[in-house]
Amino acid sequence: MISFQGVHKSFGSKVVLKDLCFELEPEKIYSLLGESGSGKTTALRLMNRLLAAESGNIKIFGKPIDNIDPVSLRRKMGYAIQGSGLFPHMTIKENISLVAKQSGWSKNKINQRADELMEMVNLPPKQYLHLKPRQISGGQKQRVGFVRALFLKPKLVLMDEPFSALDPITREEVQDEFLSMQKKLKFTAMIVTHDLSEAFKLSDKVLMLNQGNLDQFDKPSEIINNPKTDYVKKLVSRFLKSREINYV
Amino acid sequence: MFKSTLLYVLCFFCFLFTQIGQSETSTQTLVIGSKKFTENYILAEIMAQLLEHHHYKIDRRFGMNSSIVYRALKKGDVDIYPEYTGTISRVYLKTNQNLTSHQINDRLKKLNLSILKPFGFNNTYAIAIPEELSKNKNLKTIEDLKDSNLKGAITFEFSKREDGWPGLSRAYAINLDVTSMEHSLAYEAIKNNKADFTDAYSTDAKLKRFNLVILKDTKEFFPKYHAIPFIKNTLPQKVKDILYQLSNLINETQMIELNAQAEYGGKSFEQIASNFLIKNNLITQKKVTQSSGLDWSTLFQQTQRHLFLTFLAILLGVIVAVPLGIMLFRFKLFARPILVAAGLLQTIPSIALLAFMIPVFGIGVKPAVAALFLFSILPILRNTYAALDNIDPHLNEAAQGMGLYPNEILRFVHFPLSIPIILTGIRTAAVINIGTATLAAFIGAGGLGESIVTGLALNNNEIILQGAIPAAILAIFTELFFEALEMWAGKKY
Repeated sequence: MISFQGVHKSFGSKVVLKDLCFELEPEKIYSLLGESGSGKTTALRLMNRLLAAESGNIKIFGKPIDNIDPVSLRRKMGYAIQGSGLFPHMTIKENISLVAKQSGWSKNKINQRADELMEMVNLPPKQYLHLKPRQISGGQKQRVGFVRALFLKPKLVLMDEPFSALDPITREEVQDEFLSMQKKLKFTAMIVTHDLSEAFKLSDKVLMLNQGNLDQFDKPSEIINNPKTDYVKKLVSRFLKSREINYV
Repeated sequence: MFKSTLLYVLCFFCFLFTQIGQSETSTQTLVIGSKKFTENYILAEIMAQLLEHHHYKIDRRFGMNSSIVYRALKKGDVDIYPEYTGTISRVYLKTNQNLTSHQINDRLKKLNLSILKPFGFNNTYAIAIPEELSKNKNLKTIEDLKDSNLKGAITFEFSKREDGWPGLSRAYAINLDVTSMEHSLAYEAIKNNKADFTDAYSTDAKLKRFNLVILKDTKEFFPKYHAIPFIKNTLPQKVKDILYQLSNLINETQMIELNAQAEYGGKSFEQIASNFLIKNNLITQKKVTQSSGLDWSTLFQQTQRHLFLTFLAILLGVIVAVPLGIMLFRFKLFARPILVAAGLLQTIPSIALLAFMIPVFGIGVKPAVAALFLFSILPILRNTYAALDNIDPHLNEAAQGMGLYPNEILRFVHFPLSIPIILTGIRTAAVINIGTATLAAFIGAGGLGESIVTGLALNNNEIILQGAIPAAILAIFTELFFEALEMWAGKKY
């Protein structure tokens, strides 16, 4: 699906990613996990060419990413961000269908897709499509954000802290909905997060980033039972402690 | 809904653009200008009616700023206007000598200008003080001012001219506190005891009205100011011959009388000129004029012209400043220097900017629109740039990340989100321009300023208000219109 080979990126004198290597398989959910400044958002933005790597190879769908026009590349991927990033002057329908319309989808096809996805996130289309973003709640906005990201039937969805603006209860709900959508639509997802429990709950595999280095790339159970570096150990023990507190 | 709005907008512009035809002049037309004081209006109107009697078409551009009407004559946009020999020698030819008519004409040759024979009176500068003050303090000559403690209110022109206050105060060694203001306001200041003396013209009807007396110029400092028709050299001999009929026809007393008829007799310049020309057997028929009082058709015409000037300038402002703002947003390096330059433009006094426009655009509608356009750039440009620059970076990221092309981002995201703030900029520009457009009368562009300038010349508040009130109402309506528009645009959120 997507592979990084020796990818290097720095901003000025500050090195952000060092020799990053990994490969993602189709129809799986991945998390990029690390503390702030670990380079996780930078890694995500390299995948849709919002940023360019200094050296190394990134391949997507088997092709070098530099050979694909950035805009058509982005239209093949979904992109969801923290706080949804919905355009305030457009209705929900205009928000989710803008790129489809610009890509030449017919009205019928757009209507069908809008209804289908809105049903899937439990927002009845008749009730919601004509509303403006300010008229719905934070959790609903985030769901609409997913619908927008998934509208063009992408095989890969990139998500930058998509759940972090939500309160804990809503977050759980939206995460569950996201998992059920992924099961139905079978896309690959790459989620940037700093929350271990979120990463472990959602992902098939987690990329543990430590100041630009990929410390470990494993299944959640493997990371918990077999942390490979001190940094991963520290994060895991912190995670286990917080779970204990929660249960006490 | 959209279509009908568009239709209204189109109709509005059609209404405004009916003005365009009116502003153009045919080649056979003679353009007569005048400065913005009563006597100059009357002399200009007398020449105009006399030439009309001889079947010339006349384009009247009255009430202009004095340096502007001279520039317009030099550039060829005005053919004739009444001027004074003293002003020509001192101000335009920059000499301190008292030149004869021949000497003046010799020196004017290279400018392609000339003067005709004098109208017959000398309207020199004078220093005037209230009669009562003169008696009480025994002030008879300018020299007497020396040891007084009086305050002066003098015109801007007088305060700067070498044959005005700077030269006078040196010649008489006077060192007094003077404030510069508009001529009509200076008289009001004296009436209200805010000032003690002012510069006056020796044929000014206001001297009588305000009970002022002239201090004797014992040192003969003030040069002779014979009123003459100041013309373009290229005028046909026939026109000059017609104007020669006016030579030595008006003496000082007669001129004061004509001035008084305008300022206190409630007569229009047209009536005064007609009566004068008939009395002297130069024309046979009175020019048909409107009766005094509120003249709705003039008001309508002036309002239409005012709106035309303002809206054309704003339209050009939007066409230039909005795309420029978008460019600055894309190429931020240029943003600061260009915004600073636009800011500097705004600091140029309106009347100065109008004067700068004359060498390029002549007089009339074009320079007025050009100046108003320049004034409208800053508010629109600054708001466009600020609106784009303040868009939530998350929205920017979302738009890029979802796969929109840069022009699509501009069209669907940046631009719609910026509209309310851009509209606020256009609103500011429009309201400023409605105020500033009153100055357009100084360069013969018409509009509501015409009434204001005429009213100031006649010291007639009623006429001033005929221009000022509609201008204020226009400004209020513009505010309300844009407020509604901004609310409509803001509703989208």
